[in-house]
Amino acid sequence: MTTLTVRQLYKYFPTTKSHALRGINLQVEGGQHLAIVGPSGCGKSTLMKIIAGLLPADSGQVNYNKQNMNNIAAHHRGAVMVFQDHLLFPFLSVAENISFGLRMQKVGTAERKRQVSQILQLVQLAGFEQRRPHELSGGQQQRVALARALVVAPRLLLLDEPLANLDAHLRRQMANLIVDIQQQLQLTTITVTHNQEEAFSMGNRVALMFTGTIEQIGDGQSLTSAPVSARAAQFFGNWNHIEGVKRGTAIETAVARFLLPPHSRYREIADGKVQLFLRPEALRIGTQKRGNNRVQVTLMRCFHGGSRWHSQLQADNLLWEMISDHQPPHQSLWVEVAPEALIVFSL
Amino acid sequence: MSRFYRIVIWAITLHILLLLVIPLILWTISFRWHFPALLPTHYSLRAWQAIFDPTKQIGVALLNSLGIACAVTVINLLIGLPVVRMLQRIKIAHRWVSDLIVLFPLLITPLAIVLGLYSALSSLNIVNNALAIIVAHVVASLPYMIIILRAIFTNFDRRYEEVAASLGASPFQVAYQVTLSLLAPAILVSSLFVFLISWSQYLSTLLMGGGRLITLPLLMISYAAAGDYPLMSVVTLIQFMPPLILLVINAFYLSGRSYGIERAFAL
Repeated sequence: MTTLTVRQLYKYFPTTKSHALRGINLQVEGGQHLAIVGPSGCGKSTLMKIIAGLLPADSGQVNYNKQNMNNIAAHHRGAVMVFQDHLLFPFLSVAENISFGLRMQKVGTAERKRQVSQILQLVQLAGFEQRRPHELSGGQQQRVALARALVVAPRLLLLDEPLANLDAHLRRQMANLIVDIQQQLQLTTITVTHNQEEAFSMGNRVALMFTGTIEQIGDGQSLTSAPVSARAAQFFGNWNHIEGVKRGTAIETAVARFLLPPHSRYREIADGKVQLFLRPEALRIGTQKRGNNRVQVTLMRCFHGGSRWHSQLQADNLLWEMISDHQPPHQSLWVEVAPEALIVFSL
Repeated sequence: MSRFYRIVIWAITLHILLLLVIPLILWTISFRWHFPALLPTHYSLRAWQAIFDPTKQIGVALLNSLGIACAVTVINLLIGLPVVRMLQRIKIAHRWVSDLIVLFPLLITPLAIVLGLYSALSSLNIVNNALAIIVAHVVASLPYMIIILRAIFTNFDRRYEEVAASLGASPFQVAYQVTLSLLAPAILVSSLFVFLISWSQYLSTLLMGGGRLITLPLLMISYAAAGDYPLMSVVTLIQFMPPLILLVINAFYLSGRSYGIERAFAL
């Protein structure tokens, strides 16, 4: 199993005059699956290409098991990339595509055949050996691309938006297949995606990336419940947010006064202008009127989302969302916010 | 294909057959054919027998034409492929400079180019031979080769090469096993085009070869000038064959073996 360590990675593209990476530090333990999530153009794919050796970094280091890989060519690294467009070689059959890497390694014909048939079983495509890529569906093509990567027993598996071109149903199937295989083979894997659901469902850990830097890294729970910055909060989920002024342990806003709980780390934030974030699930239909952490709202729209009620509320000039177990009883109502659910960042 | 296009294609094919090929075939077997006779009045196989007559030089001219056209095609590929690859790396804002350099030979009259080349090569004492002819043909055809290849390379998805490299293919294996395979149809089309340009060159062949090296166009024109239309027609038909064979192979290759190769290009 290969442990990947990335230290202080920088990359600047002079043609677009953009800093793609600004000092990336990262560690993926052997057999772990890291999902990197972030908006388009944040440098995720550049990072993957540098790890695979397909692009040189301006500075910094990529280590596989403490071995510096900076001067090792891509074809000697054993880091295989799978792209969202599958990129199967159109002039080769499924079997020939899968055995491409083995052929490059000069593996004998009989052994190649054996391994191809084994890997086709694994990706549930036995019997498709002689098909051409254009005769396969999108999901099948992606499975062939995965098989082609897996058959060479890579040290690192790098998946660049592997599910982006698939429909919702296939996406779930493929995500499960990738996770199953990754765990079965104990492969050190990095998946890059802009879809947070995919990231949370596939990775043991998730890294959030913005404009060439890793903003936050952790498990799905920590990323969604304790974002480290306003933009991290805004990226994960539909947070309700409002600006206010912090004075001691209280935050004054246009709609209410919010009190921070006794052990909240946000009490340490310096007094002044702040941004307050509230998850839609943290809002509850209030039993009392007025008081701290209570907001008077008008119900704009309400629907049952399958398991819970989703309400769109208007407070002052703000539109908030609430997810609750019960349908709001009136058009005009008070909602309360649990103090522990308050997330605060200084402006 | 719609019915209209099918009719048009058949009409063009029939037109070519009736106006070009059939009269040519008739000429090759005619002994006497004077106006206003619709068909030859006397027939003879003399022109076809001349193929095997060494003094008529048809065989030599065929071999010379083939050799020169093949050499020109290979040299074009050897120069064109790396040049196009390099041109792709030029900043888009500066592309007009490279475009101008590539297209410049097409803006000057061929005679001026050939005379300039003749003067340059004669100072190096390499005129009146096959090498001089090949150089002239390469100069005439290289811009076309580069234009066609560049159009294809612009849309080429380089991630195929990245996938291959990450699967363990060395740069040479990537170029040979992936890039060339993906570009094969484009290379075939551009090669055919260049082959045909060289195959039909008359003026540059005559000037640069000094008339010492006989090719099919030279032979055809000399028989035409001498009024020997049966022999001229035989040479014309022979000259017509290799391009026809290449076109058929090309059509088969592109239609039967594309395997969705166009997906490698963002067309």
